[in-house]
Amino acid sequence: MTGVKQPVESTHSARVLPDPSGWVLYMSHRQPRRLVVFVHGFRGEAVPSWQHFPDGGLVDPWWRESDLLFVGYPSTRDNITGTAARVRTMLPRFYPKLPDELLQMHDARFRSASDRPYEELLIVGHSLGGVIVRRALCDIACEWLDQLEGEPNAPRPPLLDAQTRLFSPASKGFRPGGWLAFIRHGPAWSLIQMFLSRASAFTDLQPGSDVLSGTERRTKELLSGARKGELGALRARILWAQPDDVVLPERYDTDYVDRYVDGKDHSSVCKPRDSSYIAPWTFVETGSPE
Amino acid sequence: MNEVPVDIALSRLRALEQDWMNTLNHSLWKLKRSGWELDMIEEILLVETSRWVLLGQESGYFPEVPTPLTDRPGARRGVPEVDEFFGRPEIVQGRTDFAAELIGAQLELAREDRLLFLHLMFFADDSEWIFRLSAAQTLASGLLDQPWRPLPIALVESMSWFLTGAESSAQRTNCPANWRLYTPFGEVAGERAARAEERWSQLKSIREEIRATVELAAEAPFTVAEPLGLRTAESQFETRAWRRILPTDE
Repeated sequence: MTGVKQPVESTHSARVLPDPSGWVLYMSHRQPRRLVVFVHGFRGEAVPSWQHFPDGGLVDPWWRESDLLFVGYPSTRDNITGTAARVRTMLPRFYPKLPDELLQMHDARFRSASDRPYEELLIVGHSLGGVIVRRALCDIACEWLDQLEGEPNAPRPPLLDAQTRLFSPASKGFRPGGWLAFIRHGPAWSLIQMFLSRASAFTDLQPGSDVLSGTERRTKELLSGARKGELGALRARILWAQPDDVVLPERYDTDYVDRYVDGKDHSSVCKPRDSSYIAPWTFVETGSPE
Repeated sequence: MNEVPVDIALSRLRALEQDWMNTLNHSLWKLKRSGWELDMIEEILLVETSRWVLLGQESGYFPEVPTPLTDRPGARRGVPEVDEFFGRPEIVQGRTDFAAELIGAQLELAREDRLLFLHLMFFADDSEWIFRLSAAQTLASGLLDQPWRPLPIALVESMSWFLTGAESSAQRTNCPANWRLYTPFGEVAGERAARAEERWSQLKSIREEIRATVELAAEAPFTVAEPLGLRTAESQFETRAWRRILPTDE
């Protein structure tokens, strides 16, 4: 009835979290040094959108020292600001220190207990997820600056430690015909469903929408202000698909110089595959695909 | 100091007992609260759960210790109708693949649209099916008449069982969730599978109609939708007239 072949020992164990619903945590079996957070794009799901990212520990020691948190959200229903707000309010539960109750079941643990917080945070977004990441970080920074007005010594939020990595972000919206291209790429019924109701996520991603232009404007203002040295999280490193016929491939003036990877499309750019496509792993780790 | 031992395999099993059942119960509870009769699909899902545990134990992903997940009423063996859903050999390539398949299957469990789709394909009686199919047809016809008209979100949500619900992003494998991961339903045998295939073919033509209409509408320049009740003369065009103003390849 059943059969088993050649076991490959994994480096992480996963839990689908009930709260926040649809988020998936891959816990390293070693004491981790960092947390890497992934925010998917359209018709995405928390983990499948990133394909082999959870197997990074089999490829490189850097990934064995990383816990991975995959954010899931209903991209056809929720709008950008709502999802960004959820990311902003929920992530402090996981960073800088993972709650021990996630690591311990009632009679067994995934790894030994430790009081050591993470040393690093990386936040990774793809497509719509890239806009959500930008919006969340921007709002965290705004909130902190507001707080500083009444409380000059308010500590910088730990989430602003983040290094930001974006795969083909939809920061400037969809190309004319981008929706159509995406629909034609494959069975994209989530997009069709979104189109039917013209859900917020659809209108938000039209070039020049209030959400897109507001997020860009605020990010630039924050990065030209007195605290810009403490807001490095708002400067994204970007890897574009080449060709990308879905989004407008344009970065913010405040981002790092962007990079391209040839022969990958909008969907496949963020999906590593064993030794044949390791650029996504390398890009998240170092900020460069090479 | 914490004295609970590190035991990865046992932790995984305990996490499954807790997280999988939370996901399953939550999804079914929400649907049942809306009046859906889901006893049969619940039983199949419980059998599937026990098969995941057994397969995980065979691969060493889980330890071979007793678990309530293999001893639930719904997990009983030998019910012929249930066995039709699990006819293929279940093979796991390794623990990494097993983990990926398990997580994918668990994420799918949280999809109420998918569970409703499966219920309507496999288990709904004919009168319920005809009612739902008719609603889908009405949506498709209305859309064809005014393809650029945004539909109320609540209406689209109520139809999500045959829009996104018919889709699965899981990759084809040989795992206990096969029966629910793919459309059409080649993984299932027997009378229910034949009925599901027939219903799926009825639904496919409606979906193709909707898809074609949306592709056409998506080519039009985007404008923010006007509120219902304030429709412009332009948005009153009939489909044929609207099609004439679209650029074509001819």
